[in-house]
Amino acid sequence: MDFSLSKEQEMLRQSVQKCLQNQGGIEIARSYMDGEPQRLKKTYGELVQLGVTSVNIPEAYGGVGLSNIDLVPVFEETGRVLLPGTLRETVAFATPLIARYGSAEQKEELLSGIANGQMTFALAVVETNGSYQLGDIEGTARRQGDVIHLDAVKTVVHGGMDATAFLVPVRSDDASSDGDSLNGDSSNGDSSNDDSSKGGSSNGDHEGITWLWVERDHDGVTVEPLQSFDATLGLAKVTFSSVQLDEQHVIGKWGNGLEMCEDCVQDLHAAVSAEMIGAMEHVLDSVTEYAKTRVQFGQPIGRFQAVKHRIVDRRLELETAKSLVYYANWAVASGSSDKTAAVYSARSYATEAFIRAASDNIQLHGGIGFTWEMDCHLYLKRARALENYLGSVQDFEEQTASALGW
Amino acid sequence: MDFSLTSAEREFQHALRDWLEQNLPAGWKGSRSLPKTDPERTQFLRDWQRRLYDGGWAGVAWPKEYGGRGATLLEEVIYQEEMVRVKAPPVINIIGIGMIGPTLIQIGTEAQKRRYVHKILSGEEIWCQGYSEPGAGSDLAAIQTHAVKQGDKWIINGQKVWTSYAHIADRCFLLARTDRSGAKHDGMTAFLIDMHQPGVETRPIHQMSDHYDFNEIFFTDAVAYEEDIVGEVGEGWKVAVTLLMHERVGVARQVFSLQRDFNDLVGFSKTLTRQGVRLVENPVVKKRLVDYYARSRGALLTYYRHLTQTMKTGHPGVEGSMDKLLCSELGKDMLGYAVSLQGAHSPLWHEDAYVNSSWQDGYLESLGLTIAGGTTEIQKNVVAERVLGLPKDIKH
Ligand SMILES: Cc1cc2nc3c(=O)[nH]c(=O)nc-3n(C[C@H](O)[C@H](O)[C@H](O)COP(=O)(O)OP(=O)(O)OC[C@H]3O[C@@H](n4cnc5c(N)ncnc54)[C@H](O)[C@@H]3O)c2cc1C
Repeated sequence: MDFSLSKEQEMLRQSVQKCLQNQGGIEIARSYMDGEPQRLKKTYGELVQLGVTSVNIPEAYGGVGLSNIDLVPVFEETGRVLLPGTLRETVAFATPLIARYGSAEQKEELLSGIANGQMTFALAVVETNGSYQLGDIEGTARRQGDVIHLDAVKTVVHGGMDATAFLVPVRSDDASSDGDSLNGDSSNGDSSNDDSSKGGSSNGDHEGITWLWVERDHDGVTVEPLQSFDATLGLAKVTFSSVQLDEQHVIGKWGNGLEMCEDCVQDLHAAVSAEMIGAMEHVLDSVTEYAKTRVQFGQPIGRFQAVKHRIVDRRLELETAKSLVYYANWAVASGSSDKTAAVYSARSYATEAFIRAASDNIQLHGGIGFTWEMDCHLYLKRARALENYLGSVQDFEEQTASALGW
Repeated sequence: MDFSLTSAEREFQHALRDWLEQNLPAGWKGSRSLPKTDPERTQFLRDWQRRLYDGGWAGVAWPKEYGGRGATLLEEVIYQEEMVRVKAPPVINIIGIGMIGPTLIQIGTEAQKRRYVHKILSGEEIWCQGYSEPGAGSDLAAIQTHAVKQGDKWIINGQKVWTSYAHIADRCFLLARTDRSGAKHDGMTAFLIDMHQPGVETRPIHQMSDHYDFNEIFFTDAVAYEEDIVGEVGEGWKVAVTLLMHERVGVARQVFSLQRDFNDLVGFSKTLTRQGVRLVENPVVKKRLVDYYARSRGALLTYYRHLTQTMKTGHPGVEGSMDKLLCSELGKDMLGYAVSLQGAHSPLWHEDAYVNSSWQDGYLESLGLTIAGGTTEIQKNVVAERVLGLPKDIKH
């Protein structure tokens, strides 16, 4: 038994850490917030050089052929500096989605684009009704001959301002579900490690969801920035208006999008959770440091138990979250039978622990913690913004419960 | 990352399982099958330890030359896991086997090893650990019980309290003050005391769990000899700490009990209904159960991460304090919930308990686990100071 990251995994962490520090660490996010995305672009390029975007791409397509467990240290480090952008969606969702369900041509084109950094993806899932359930999707895809017509308005698209392309689930007509799908079922869309993870609560219609991918500069695509208290996320509203696509833009089987999503979204939530523990660790390291140096009543405030015990409580939660998150990523990578429960319980636990840590960090810094200058608020805002990213804590808990058979 | 067992570890596990199948007391159903009162209860537990010993399963972590199995760390963990799984009877000489024997093997004299070690393992002699006093609990170095040298004897006077198993113990590992002139951590000495002598009086204390496992001990001119001293005179603090370091696998038993209790709790909530709906389907209950799932898995996995570190470095670190905190606090919370779910029936106890008394018993016992072995507050200080490097608490 060995429950730790390997030497190689830790080495990847170190090079990512160094790369991020060379670019200024949290300053990447700060300058992004100030409307200067160049630093982020440069950082992304460096991460690509390090091979971060190739880690989990199959060797047959020029990748390293590892799995998401190998990405855990990467996401811990990007989380630690609140890296903006699309690395997470690209590597932890687009890559598994395309690798598992894409056609041979798509794998060739899109995966190599991801590997060399030319292509980055954002998930255009949520619509104005705010629902996460794919069953509630109203955006549509209709076939007319060889042409697919896409009409949808997607909102709160994380990294929408930065991605070169969007992954868009829409409600598809059943025109071609009788078999004239051109590439869908020729692909090896085997969801072999599906462990019946149907979310317990979705109502809506589960039939006929299809995943499309659309270039950002495609005719009919409009991207508008959205204001957010977390300005590091590059949130956007993306409108697809009479967008005409060819068959190459359909990922997986026409109408089969729900199952694909339930599979790959677990990779994504495992990655989000890894970012959370990286960020949480940073928050706790900094509050610990502050408690050692800030003097009141002639004592470092860390001597007061009301302060030190609160830090310890959060630290214990971090340890717990870290264990759950490492395990969840291992479970996804190894297709373990408890993976759905492992992922969603890690996601809900880490989410709440991160919020508490980020909030206590502000409290224990006192007045200075309430300022824009300090980084404290950036972590709280990220914690709150990720809280409801593609699911709420309640959703994750229900998914855990149903995976456990309750 | 790898959660598999080696073939040697698997063999160890199977050998133990086979043995348990053959040797668990007939009709054993967990601790509620224990005889309710003494002396039957103690006799039952002594017999159980003897059986473990005869089967070679009493001191798995002990070196082979002292009658143990020389088990690896992970095998010892597997041992605890199996014992919890079958709800095996507790080991009555747990303090002797877990801490005192290994301490004597490590730093005892040859004579002490010859005289005591074997009988600890066989359960012929039961031991207790006399540290805490009325005025010295968390602040252990404040102990007042003192030993004064007279000729070749040491004369001991004072009082210990909360001493588990003292009422049945043959010997006590006693921490006493032998010099009051210096700083309070200096001038202590560790003695191996005969409990069957006129100067030692033991009074059982009635615990909130309705058991009588811990005691007061009064020393009135009790006697110890030169050969009963462990380590050097005045080095008692160091010896006391050495003894505590022998908690090699830390909270293994607690962490596995948590998993078992969690599973039982889920099973339990499937059998209870409220307004015709099974509790496990009640959204409020379900949320709580999911939370316990995450936290109990989290405690177990965190324990495994720390264990991995221990296996790599060769010695347990202060992380054990985190494990203790997580397990003991979570256990109290979760068992309390299991009681609470019983609604109007929840206060019923013993024979009148709603299902059986083990939820009530487990919950009441859990309140001691956040106190014994260093309270939650003290453990938090340890983590704050030794893991995070925060300033030391006020001390004098
Ligand atoms: C079931 C059980 C079995 C036991 N078995 C044994 C045994 O076999 N041998 C033995 O020697 N002892 C034994 N003990 C005693 C145990 O070690 C002590 O109870 C424990 O160390 C606490 O000491 P105390 O009871 O004097 O409480 P105190 O130290 O008086 O603590 C009272 C409260 O004050 C808090 N407190 C104390 N100091 C601080 C501080 N610096 N900062 C913040 N809070 C503080 C504590 O956390 C606690 O909440 C046992 C106890 C129990 C419950």
